[in-house]
Amino acid sequence: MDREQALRDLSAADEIAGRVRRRGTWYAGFCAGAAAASLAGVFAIGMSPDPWWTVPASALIAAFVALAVYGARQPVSPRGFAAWHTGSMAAWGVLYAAALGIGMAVFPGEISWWMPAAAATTLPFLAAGAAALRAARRPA
Amino acid sequence: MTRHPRARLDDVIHAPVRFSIVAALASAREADFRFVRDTVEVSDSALSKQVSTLEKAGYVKVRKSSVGRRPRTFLALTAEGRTAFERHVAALRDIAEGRAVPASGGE
Repeated sequence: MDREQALRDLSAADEIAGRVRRRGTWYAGFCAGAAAASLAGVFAIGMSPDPWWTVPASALIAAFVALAVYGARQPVSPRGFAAWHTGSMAAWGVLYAAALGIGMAVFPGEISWWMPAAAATTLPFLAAGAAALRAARRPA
Repeated sequence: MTRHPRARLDDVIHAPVRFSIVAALASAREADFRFVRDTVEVSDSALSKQVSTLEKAGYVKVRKSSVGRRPRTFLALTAEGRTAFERHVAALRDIAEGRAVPASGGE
């Protein structure tokens, strides 16, 4: 092993690592999709009269199932994926429960609650997506 | 006497194909067998053989799964494999930078 061979190996490793990291950026798209579904779904649930809120609620579940299938088909799980995904889903669950629990009891049909509440539920996904993009741009 | 950094190169990782496999897995939590095969540009059988060597060394773990009816195999570095790769890359960097080269000038 000489200096030139070491440089060649390091360069090859960097090139391969870059390809793998780029393939892991699908998770940012997943997060953008989840954020969009949550924004539209929570807002529509809150603004729909009983029993019609079940339609956007079902659509939200269907969107999340579609995203899960999309995620399961990806060939690479990026480094940090488990922490980002667990953290974002847990935070989203708390925000979603708070938005619906408080909104349906106190602010039914009030846009001044449902718009910011729906926007708040997107934050965990946006944070996880940003973390995935940052990680894809820096070396392992 | 100063040791040349080549003494810190990992014998298991040092082989070119295994080095490429480990470099690919080091940037992921886990990766699909076929993706690694295409990235490293080897055949299924060559990848299986090298993965088996890495698995025996405790550097790679293999997980079998399925999406629908399609069976899939995922590869991931173990903590031990990640540490070994980091040490190997650190040794390569030292060689590339000419650190700790003996007075004879190396190989």
